[in-house]
Formats: sequence, structure tokens, C-alpha cells
Amino acid sequence: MPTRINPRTKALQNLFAAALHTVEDAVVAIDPRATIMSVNQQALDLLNSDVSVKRAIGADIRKLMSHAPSFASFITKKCLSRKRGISEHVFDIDGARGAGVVSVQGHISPDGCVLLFEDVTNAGETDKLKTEFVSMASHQLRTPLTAIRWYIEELYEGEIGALTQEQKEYLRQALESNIRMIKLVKNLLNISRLEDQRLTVNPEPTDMLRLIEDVVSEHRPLAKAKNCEIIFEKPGGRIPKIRLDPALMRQVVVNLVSNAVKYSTGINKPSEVHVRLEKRPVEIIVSVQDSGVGVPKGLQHRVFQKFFRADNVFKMQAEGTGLGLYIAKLIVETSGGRIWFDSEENKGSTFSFSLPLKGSRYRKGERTLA
Amino acid sequence: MATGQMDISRKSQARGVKPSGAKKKILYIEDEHALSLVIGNKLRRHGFEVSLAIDGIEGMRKIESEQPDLVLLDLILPNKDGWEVLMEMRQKGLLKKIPVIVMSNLGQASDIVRSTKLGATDYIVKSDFSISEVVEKIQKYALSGRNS
Repeated sequence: MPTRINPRTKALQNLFAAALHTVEDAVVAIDPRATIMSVNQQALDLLNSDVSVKRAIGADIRKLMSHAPSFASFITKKCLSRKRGISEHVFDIDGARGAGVVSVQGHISPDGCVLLFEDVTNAGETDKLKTEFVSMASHQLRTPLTAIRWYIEELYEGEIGALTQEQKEYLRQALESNIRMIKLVKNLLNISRLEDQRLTVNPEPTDMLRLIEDVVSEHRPLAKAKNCEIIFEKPGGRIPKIRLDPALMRQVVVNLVSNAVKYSTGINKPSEVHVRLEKRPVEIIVSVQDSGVGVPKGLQHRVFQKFFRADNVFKMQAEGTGLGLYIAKLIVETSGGRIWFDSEENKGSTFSFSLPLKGSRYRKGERTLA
Repeated sequence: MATGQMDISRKSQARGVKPSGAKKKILYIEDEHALSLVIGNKLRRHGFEVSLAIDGIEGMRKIESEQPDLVLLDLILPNKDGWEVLMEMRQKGLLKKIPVIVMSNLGQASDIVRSTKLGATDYIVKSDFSISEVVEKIQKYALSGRNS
């Protein structure tokens, strides 16, 4: 007796097919015997198949993909288990439209498996080109920026002749913009390396207490000038040395401490920045608390985004590139930790990050921080 | 009184002078004219004798013919780059006599390590320093130079 399909099920099937048609991803759904239940044209194009969508449905995907044997065995071994999970595979294809590399992600369930395909033929190459370009561009930008910096400094210092107060003020503004641009170029370079995972992480036993102490004492004079006191609240117990990359860790602590000082309010009103270091069972927590302008509630979700700067900070005319926290987050996460914050407008912010006591994993990249 | 202090600071700037009375000579190998001009002029005002070279070949020639007291060396240079200059200086035993400060905008740890391993005395990432800081460093090395 032929099974009658429930009209509702039929409607769902049609809608699913329509949905597949509208997405950009290349998608195939197979049942636990590898029969194609649904497929979109994007998938057939990517897989170099000349079969139409209509004819592909009902076929065994391994037969359709006979030109890619490693894919067929990936389906047999990994995707037909009916056990929920995700399995990934990268394979070469060589079809009518040329050779390529495809990455596939199988989302397995008791009802079958949904396969998402991605063309990764040029992925590595593009990343490499992008990094090389940013690297070269920032080096090329630095030379003229250096020249501008040195010439303005000479004029400003009166080395070439005495200046009026107004002339000096104009040059000071020019110099500040120039130095901001130098920082921006440097940060962009570092971000490009972090994002492309090409940054070397070189962990060595690191005394975080000492590292924080150094950063704090370097920032004290500048903070004092702004009537801001930096207080390092040291932990009660001993903090063991942890295998971390000290240059990267330093960058994170510097970014958080300098932000806290920068956004602590008014030059006339005294303020305090509290830096804390605590040891928990499996991690250490570093936190930096200020009583500054804080981050407005509505903008808090964007704090770690690239180039984010809050409106209230713009009004303060505090200089910054909007990259410091983004870099801090990239570094902390690359090092195996987490970063978060707590903030209230006009009350202040506390930025914290954790690092595992077991330390960071070594990663061989081609680059270090600039 | 203010003028008196000024006189003292002007005098103390003119320190690029050897005990014998001769001026200390600094060779700056740099292909960016704007940079060598501003540094060169400032060093001359500080009492140094300054010589310039625009690539590694001219630089190497002047190191040998002029025997400077200190070499400032850019890395990315036409014809012969800064590392090659360092290597050649080492081979010819010139590094024992003449300290070299690398002045580059390459800020990679690997670039710095490579240069110091080749025998550079110090490494300055140009864009990170004010011109006064750069000149202070130069004065420090020129005056404590290996053949002073």
C-alpha cells in the first residue's frame, strides 16, 4: 500500500526547497542512507556537477560525487552515524569547471545529515596577500610619517627659530595628529597579524605580578599629571609563574591601564584607578577599575568592536584609535583567556580578563607585534 | 639669568667633540632624503661632523674611506641592504672599531634580533622616537664610542 504524504509535510518540503534556493550557502540534505533529500543549485555549481536539482534528488550523493573519492568515504564513515554532531572534511575536486578545494561541514542527526559546502580554493592565498599588503603598506606609511614627525618637532622646539605662541599651538596640534596616525598604522598592522592567526605566541614562565607592577609604575607619572592615582592591589597569596607570551600580555595590561587613566574624568577632579590581580582555582583574573566616564548602556555591546568609540568619549576629545580593546580581546582570546567588562555611565568601568594557570599554547606564526 | 642658563645648555650641546678637539664623525646611511636632512642638520648643530650615503654601496665605501666614529644604518636600502652592510663590516673586522645603530621602520622582533646578532649596537624604530630622543641615543654612542 503506497504511503500517503501528509499535505502539511508536502508543504514543508516545498518551503524547505524554496528556502535552500534563497540562501547563499551551498547546501545538501541527505538521509541516513546517503540519498539526497534536498539540494540547491549553489551546491551543484560548487561541486562541479552537471546534474539538475530535480535529477539529483533521490540519488546517492557518493555516486554523484564519484570524482571525489575522499568525499565519498567521509560520507560513509562520518555522516551516516545518526549520532548528533558536526564533522568536517576538506577535499579536492576536479570537474568540468577546473580543479579546486572544497571544505564541507556535516551536521549529523538521527534523520540524516545536512552538508554545508564552501569553496576554499583561494582562501589561504587571499589571506596571505592581504597580510603582505597591510604589512608593506604600513611600513611604507611609516617613513613619511616619521619625516613629518621629526620636522614638526624641530620647528616646535624652536630649533629653526623662535615661534609665536599661536604658531607653537598649531604645530602641537599637527604633531598630535601625526603621532595618532603613527599609532593607528602600528595597531592596524598588529590587528592584521592577529586576525590572520599569523602572530607568534611564544609562552615562557611569566611573573604577571611583576609585569603589572612595571606597567603601573610606567603609567604613574602621566596619571599624576592628570590628578589620577593608580593603585595596584596585590593578591594575598603567591601567584605562580604562568607560561604566557610576556610581550602580548604587556600589551593587554598597557591598553587597559592607559584607557582607565584616559577616561577618568576631569583634570581638576582627583581620580583613582585600581588594578587587581587574583588567583582562582584554574585561572588568574586581572581587573582594572576606574571611576571615569563609563560606557553608555546602549553602546556596551559594541565595546570590543574594531574602531568603536563611544559618543561620550568623542565629546571628551580624548585621543584614541578605537583599536585598543579590540586588540586586547584578540590577544586574550588567542592566549586562551576571556575578557569582559562592567560599566555605568558617569560612574566608571571595570575591565577584566582571565588567563588559564596552565598557560597559553605555543603558536608558530610568521609575525610578532610591531 | 634665563639667558645664562641658555648659554650653558647651548655649550653642553656642543659635545660632539673629541678630547683632541676634532669633531666626531657620524655616517648616516639612509635613502630617504627628508630623514637624513633633518637628522644631519640637527647633529651638525650639536657639533658633529656628518656624512651621508644613500645606499649600501656608497655607505660601505664611506665606512672604509672615512672611518666614521659611528654609523647610523637604515635596513631597506637600494643596491645593498642594511643587513648586507652589517655582514660586510663584520667580515672586514670594522664592527670592532665602529658602533652601528640600526634606524629602521621594520619593528618586528625578528628584524631586531637579526640585526643585533649581526653585531648592531642598538636598534631604533624610527617612527617610535622623537628626534630629540634619537639624537640623545646617537650622542650616547658617539661619545662612548669604541675608538674614542
